[in-house]
Amino acid sequence: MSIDNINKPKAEIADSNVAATSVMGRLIQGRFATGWSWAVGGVVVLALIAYPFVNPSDTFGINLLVQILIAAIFALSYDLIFGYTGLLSFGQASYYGLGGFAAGLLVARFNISNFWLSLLVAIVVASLGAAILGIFSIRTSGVYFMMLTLALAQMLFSLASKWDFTGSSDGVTFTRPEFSIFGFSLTDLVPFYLFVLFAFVVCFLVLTMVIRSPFGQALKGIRDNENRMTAVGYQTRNFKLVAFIIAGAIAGLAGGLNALSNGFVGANTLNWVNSGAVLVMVLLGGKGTLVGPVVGAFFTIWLQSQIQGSGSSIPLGNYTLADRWLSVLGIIFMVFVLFAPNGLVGLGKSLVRSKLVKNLLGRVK
Amino acid sequence: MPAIATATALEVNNVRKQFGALAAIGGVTLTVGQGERRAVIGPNGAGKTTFFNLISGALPLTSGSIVLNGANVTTVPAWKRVRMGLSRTFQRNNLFLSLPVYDNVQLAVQREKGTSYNLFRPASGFPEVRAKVLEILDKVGLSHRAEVEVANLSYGEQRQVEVALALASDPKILLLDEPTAGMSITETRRMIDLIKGLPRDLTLMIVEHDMEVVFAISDYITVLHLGQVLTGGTPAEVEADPRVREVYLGEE
Ligand SMILES: Nc1ncnc2c1ncn2[C@@H]1O[C@H](COP(=O)(O)OP(=O)(O)OP(=O)(O)O)[C@@H](O)[C@H]1O
Ligand SMILES: [Mg+2]
Repeated sequence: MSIDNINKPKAEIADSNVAATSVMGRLIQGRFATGWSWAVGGVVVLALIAYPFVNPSDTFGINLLVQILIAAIFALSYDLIFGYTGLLSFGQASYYGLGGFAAGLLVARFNISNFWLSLLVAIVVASLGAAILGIFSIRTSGVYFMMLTLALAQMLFSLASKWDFTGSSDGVTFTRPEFSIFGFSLTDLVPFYLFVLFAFVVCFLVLTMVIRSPFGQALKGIRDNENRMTAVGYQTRNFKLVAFIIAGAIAGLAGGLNALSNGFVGANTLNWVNSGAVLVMVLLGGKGTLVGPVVGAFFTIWLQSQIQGSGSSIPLGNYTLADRWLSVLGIIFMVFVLFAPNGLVGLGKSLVRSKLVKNLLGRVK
Repeated sequence: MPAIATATALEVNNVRKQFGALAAIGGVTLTVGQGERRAVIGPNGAGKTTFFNLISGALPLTSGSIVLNGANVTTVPAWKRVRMGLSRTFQRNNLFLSLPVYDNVQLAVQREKGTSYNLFRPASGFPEVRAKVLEILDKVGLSHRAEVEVANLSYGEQRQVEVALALASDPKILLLDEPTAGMSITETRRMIDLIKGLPRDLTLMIVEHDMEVVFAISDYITVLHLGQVLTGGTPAEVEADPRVREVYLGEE
């Protein structure tokens, strides 16, 4: 006993020294790693800014990038719910669709042709929708949560596809609101593309901030073990609801941008297929990372354009590959769920850790 | 009761918990004074964990009532009881497995410090939270493991994180469900020291099979058997009680 007592203070001092060094280590390592990621991200964004100036005639490519960026914003919003909070929702299309309809109907039904107002209304309506649907969904969990989010979303879908106000099954066509920044009209492709890129970067930064905040930590805690969160005093429902609203706002922005880019919004934006598509994007890229959904959106939309371009000539039974887009999505989904649950980002990380780093370290030694 | 007469921290009145036909807790009444070190022992399946689940609010009661520091909390949800000063650990490790030890403790500390709804600053950027996390890691002896994901810890280390999470919210009443089960001898010693070093005004209830731990820590023992209080007394009294030996031997 007496030996224990003599040794104890020393051990404690040693421990707190280790604590200090290990926390410093964490900071330094963290800063180093994030420094690199930010550098790579910055280069990608610069390349995206440069692209239309280098290839001004490639309207197909720029259009595709617009679609990819909008899908990436949408997928980022879903990752907050699925990847960070661990909620397998099948209703993310609701907020995308609500945003799209809000932006489009403001022009088509209320004769208010204002780009900014359309986007603002898209965000507000989608967040309200997320708050209302969220209050119901969040009371359930597991399979019931999945079913309820799906059922509520499909209710909105069938409402929109039958109601004249929302253009029933034909959708709503409207004149894209005129707006210009620095003398560039946003109805032109390149300025619009740059604006969408800007919106994407803002969403990415906002979500980065949210994920790193105490609130973001709490979402991860709920994902890992909601019951334990309750046992340390969290009222988890509130956190899930706030996550729903933030994700709804961002999905609404994506839906609004999509409507404004096409001058059209239809009930299909509300369809569960869209929720399934973002789920695939997030899984494919890597859930619970912010880079993952972006990578996933890029691959999914790119693949879709390839298949719908050339795939219509590839026969597949009585159909063509293009008709089978949903099956393609389904197969990607299965493969990643079964073999790479952490997506492309996860695969990349383990590759870097296993081979490259070991080789480099080996050489240093 | 211990010699010092103190305020009542916890009152359990005729509490029952029915799982179908099984009365896991079949009418238990007891009082725990503030600052008391109360051990709850009993053979496997006696209802000890269920009893803790009822006190902490993890399970609803079938009947009876629970009073915490004078407030009736019978229908108060678990998360609110934590804010009233009640904290617990779990018999089976119940942690945030994908997060590092540091982040596990930080979750509990940031809740206590009221910063959890902040969306704008990095979680690691709150000095008062950081200081408290480091203090608790030091207390449970996990400072050197702060950066390790909990899933990669040894079982005994995970038990220490359990206790760290419970301590992080500065509890007035602490329920420990077999904190040393699965720990090495060194880890167990350390845990005993930690528990002995807890503030004297903290009320402790501990479920423990290791009699060495029970004797080192508790000043009063309640023996549960088949969901009911078989007997209670000082460690010496309980040890000498033939009925206690009987229920333990009967089970083995
Ligand atoms: N959620 C539940 N549903 C049904 N029966 C349960 C439930 N939880 C516990 N029981 C039953 O209640 C009885 C008491 O279980 P409990 O876990 O409280 O015992 P314990 O004293 O903690 O035992 P141990 O020493 O093994 O941890 C057991 O018969 C158990 O099977
Ligand atoms: Mg038990």
